[in-house]
Amino acid sequence: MTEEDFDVFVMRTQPQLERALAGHLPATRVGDAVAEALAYAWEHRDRVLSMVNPVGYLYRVAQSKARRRKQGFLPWSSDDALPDIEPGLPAALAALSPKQSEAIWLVHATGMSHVEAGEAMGISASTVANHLERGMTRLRDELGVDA
Amino acid sequence: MSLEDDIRRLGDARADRVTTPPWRDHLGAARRRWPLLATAAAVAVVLAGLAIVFLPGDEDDDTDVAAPSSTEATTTVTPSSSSSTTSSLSTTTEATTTTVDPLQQTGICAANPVPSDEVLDLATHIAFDRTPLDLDQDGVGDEVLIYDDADGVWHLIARLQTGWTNALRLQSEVAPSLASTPDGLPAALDLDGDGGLEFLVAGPQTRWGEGVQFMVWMEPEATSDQHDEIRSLLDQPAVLSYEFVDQQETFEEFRDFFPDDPELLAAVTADQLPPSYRVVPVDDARDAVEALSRRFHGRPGVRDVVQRMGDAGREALLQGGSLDESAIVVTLDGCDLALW
Repeated sequence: MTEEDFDVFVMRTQPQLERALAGHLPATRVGDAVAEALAYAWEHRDRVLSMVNPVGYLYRVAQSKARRRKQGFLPWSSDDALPDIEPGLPAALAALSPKQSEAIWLVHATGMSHVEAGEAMGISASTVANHLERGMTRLRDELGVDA
Repeated sequence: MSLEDDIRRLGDARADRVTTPPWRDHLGAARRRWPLLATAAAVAVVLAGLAIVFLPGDEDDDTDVAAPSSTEATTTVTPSSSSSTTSSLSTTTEATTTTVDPLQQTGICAANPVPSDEVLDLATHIAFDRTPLDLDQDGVGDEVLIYDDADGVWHLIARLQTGWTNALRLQSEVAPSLASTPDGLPAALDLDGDGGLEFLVAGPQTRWGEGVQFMVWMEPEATSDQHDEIRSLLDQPAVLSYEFVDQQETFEEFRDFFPDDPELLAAVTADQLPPSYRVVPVDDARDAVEALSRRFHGRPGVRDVVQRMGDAGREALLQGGSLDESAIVVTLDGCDLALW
């Protein structure tokens, strides 16, 4: 495993890791959390790179390193400047339970499968599906949007 | 456009805003903190030696004692055991480079609610590496127990040395409210409702009761419909029996755990505490219990599902005298490192 090989791994995983962490961390903390998780991955590269779902694992590493005690979706000030999305969406996501918003974020905003999101959250895929279903129902109710 | 599309676009917009610095800039950040922790640990061990097994003037290199025989209050840890003053804990009594408050550095739940970087690194290491720790670098793993918030399972991670037990006892003396916690069930309480656990108590688990393998902790404000749903799930062939413990009974247990902590007791009322179902499954094999207990995770009104530590873990915890009275509990949220 050379640094060049590892850089390929970084190119492949960093975008999804950034996106996964952009739901529940402050905007100013995501970059450092990602970099710390990637440094951790380099230091444990033999194990991390052989994982089926390294992004899920590094997501947990990064979350732990970011040390955010309160959980839950975090609205960013930049969200207000987005014309193409439902205006109440960030606030409605923030009103969900932490697990619901996390499942929604990992699956719908990050593109993870239920299994991948479950590994990232440390819960089973079926529990992810439960959180997702309940969370989306609550979001639709809150925003008055049809399924 | 669907709501899912909106969420994806929100993700797109946020991802565009993220700038990640070069990962190489973060190399070694955790490693740089480790020596501090190891030093703190060694200081604690030496102090424990002074308090418990004080052996004045013991210069015998070959003496293998349970606690170091140093009479100095500070020490450093060497990575190898090459020093001529090596004890069973591989501490040396030579240079003094850092003076560290061991309690500050290792972090005690009640006294140090804000975790230090070292504690978080320790927790990260344990949670993700799942490998034995060797904080004193003597080549023998330390014994650490972790409660995994995500799946509600106790994991015995590593084996601790006798010398460490002494260190832990010393810390208990300094933090009497922790030391006075009697044998009891692991308590998982979320007093501020942020989803994290505030207190984790590891002990012989006598309060679990005969055959109880897991507990379903409910939200204090769970509705009767939500309780009905849990009860209907419990009324199945895989469940031999279950007991409902209401808020008042939980409060009485809580009072038993912390008899010498009037401030804590004054801050807690029965209606803040979660009621629970204590479940005795038909099959108490670990896999079966896990499969069954998982069915309660994430249900409406359910705060947490806590599984009893496996017999193998419990035996390993109790055998050899290394952890007969002490345990380290690490959790990633709430109380971050508790020493008993």
